[in-house]
Amino acid sequence: MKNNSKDNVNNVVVVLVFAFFAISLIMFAYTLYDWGVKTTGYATGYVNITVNTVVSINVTTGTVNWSSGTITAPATNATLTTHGTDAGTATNGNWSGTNAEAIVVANIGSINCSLAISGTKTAATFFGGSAAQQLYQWNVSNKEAGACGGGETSMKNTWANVNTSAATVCNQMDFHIDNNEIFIDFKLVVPYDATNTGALYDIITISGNTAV
Amino acid sequence: MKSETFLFILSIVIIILSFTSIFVSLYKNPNVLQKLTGYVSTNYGYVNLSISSYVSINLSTDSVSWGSGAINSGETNATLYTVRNGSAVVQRGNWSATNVTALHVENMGNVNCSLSIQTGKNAHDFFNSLTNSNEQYMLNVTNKESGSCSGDLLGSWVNVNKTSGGTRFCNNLGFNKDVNEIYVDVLFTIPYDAGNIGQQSDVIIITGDASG
Repeated sequence: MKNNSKDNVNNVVVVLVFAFFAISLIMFAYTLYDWGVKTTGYATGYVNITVNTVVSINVTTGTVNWSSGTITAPATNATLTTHGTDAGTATNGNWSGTNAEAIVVANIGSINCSLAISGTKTAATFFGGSAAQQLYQWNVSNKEAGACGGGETSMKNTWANVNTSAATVCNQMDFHIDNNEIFIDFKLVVPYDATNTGALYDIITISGNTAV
Repeated sequence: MKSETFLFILSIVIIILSFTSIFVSLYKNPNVLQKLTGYVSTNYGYVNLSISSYVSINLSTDSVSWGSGAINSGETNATLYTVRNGSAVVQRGNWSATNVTALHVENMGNVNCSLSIQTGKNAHDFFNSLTNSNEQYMLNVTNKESGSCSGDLLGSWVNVNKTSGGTRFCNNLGFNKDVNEIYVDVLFTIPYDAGNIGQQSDVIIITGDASG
């Protein structure tokens, strides 16, 4: 009988202790919740921008000027060749190569591009005279390593007849500084019997398109 | 150990924990008891009003949108930055600065707070320059209303911070009307060799904290 009474008291004590504990925990949790909500706040902002790519071709050296000269007899032709940024050379003729450097083309855009070039004349329309004694050719090469790299065309580093329709000479012309310049050298073989004399010229069109 | 002894020790521990919990709750929020229970005082009639402090950050201008543009040909980067609520600046690029202004932040709460700014990206995340150069993403916090914000970084361009919590710009952003507004200007330097082309965006989280 006495033990039963003692057990009942113990049970009541246990229930009261746990109830007390539960209430204190609820108060504590509520305090933390209430306290946190009051002291912080935040907001969200947004920034956005659209960046477009640009293809831009710049011709830093745009003129090859051989000026005036003649073929040295008894040669049947004279050969005039540019050599990058060095002075041009004239064989069997007295033209000056001082202002005859290669055309320099730079991709100053923000994306690789293909490069196509064309002239308006062939050797025959440039000089006239004997076909066997005349040439009008170009040669595309890198001024900076890797400028025209990746998917290179057969025309690179090769003398080829000037084309009057646009010819792709570079499939992937790089746009990075230090890797974005090429040379276009020219070779003129002037025939002794040229029908066109005096000041002769041609216009070279250079165009860049997004590389594929 | 007898079960009664164990029960006794457990009860003592729980009671100690409970008293500690209640003490902390009442210390942090003396009104918690009234909120949880409510009570009527006899003998006296009185009006009891509890005003909780809170932080509320509002962005009345929440977006910096530059639209579409490109870097000028031949340039290695373009710089764009907002100038408070005035005309934005575009250097070496063709983005439009029309209607591009700083973020405008207000403390709409009823307590001073610190102000921290966290972004989702840094400059390289945003633009991904292939050469890891010529790219910047910065913020500049200034007072719209004199005395709104105090802090060592006020008025300086600072690189964004994408780590949790961001960078604290204001130690004490006021809440009183006429001294509770700031500008957050945004600066981009866009590299010519950005790997991320097209629309780019970021989310800026501005957090106010009254707890210090």
